[in-house]
Amino acid sequence: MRSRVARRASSDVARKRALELNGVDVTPIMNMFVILIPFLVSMAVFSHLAVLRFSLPSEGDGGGVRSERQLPLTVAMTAAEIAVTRGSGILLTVTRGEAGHDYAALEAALLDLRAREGAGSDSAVIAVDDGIVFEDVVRCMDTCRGAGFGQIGLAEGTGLDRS
Amino acid sequence: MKVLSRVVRGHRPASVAKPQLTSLIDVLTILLVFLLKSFSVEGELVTISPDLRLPESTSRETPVPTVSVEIATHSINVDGAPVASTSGLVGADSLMIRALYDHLLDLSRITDTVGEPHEVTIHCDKAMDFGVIKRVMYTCSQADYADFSLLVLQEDQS
Repeated sequence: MRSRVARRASSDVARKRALELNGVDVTPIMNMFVILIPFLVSMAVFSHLAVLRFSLPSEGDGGGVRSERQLPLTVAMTAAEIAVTRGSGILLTVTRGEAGHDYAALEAALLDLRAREGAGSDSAVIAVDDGIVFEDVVRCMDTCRGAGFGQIGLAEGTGLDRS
Repeated sequence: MKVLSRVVRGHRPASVAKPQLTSLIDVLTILLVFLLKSFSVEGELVTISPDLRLPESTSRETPVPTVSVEIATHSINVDGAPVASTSGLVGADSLMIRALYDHLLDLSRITDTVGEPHEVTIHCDKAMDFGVIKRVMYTCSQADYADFSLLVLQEDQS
């Protein structure tokens, strides 16, 4: 009885030792990692650059006889609000909140406007007052593009000074 | 005496300590996947000044090499060379920045493309006042650099 227990114990030890000896050799994998990771770190790009293309409205844009619907949509950015106008009429305004301009509300309003007026033209002019920072202009351009206005022009002066 | 007797009896030394590599390989595998995701074969065609903090945008359009006009905090640089100062531009009566205009015309003369439309990429700090940007854009358009691109950082959409 005692010898059987002793034999089993010694066979367990032998099995464990065999497993240890036959374990997967990870040295080649480690070598691969050591070469590959520094190479990939040197080639990694963590911030991708992009560009936003736009045009300046040409001098002839204001000329000629056009119906109200043919006039380009203007998104006027002031320090206090963003107003969407066409011709001389203000279609909607989004007032600036404490956390800054509400671009989600602007996008929803522009999408609603496009749904009411049909697809129509996909061009919009963003008119910006002095004092607005560049980041806000870029966010407004993104919002207009998100609402389906692919052709964006940039103009200065909103003419909406209500102070 | 006890130690000596063990040696004499031919006791095997304790089994060789093998480091446990499983967790290390897990970490390296995750790192490898992350690095492969951010791997770029092309590299960046546009170099930005380390002083500039570009705004983020949803645009995915890749930049192409053009004339770059950089609006830094204190100066306006064309292809890396300082050309004009930004101080006093906001509120100035004229929209024209004479030094920038002359430099762009010189560039056109060098490449023998005076009067032809040119592309320009504007590198601008995200906190820059639009009053400065509009003056730079006006001056560029007067010098026939009227196809504008604004350099931005791609917003992470993952």
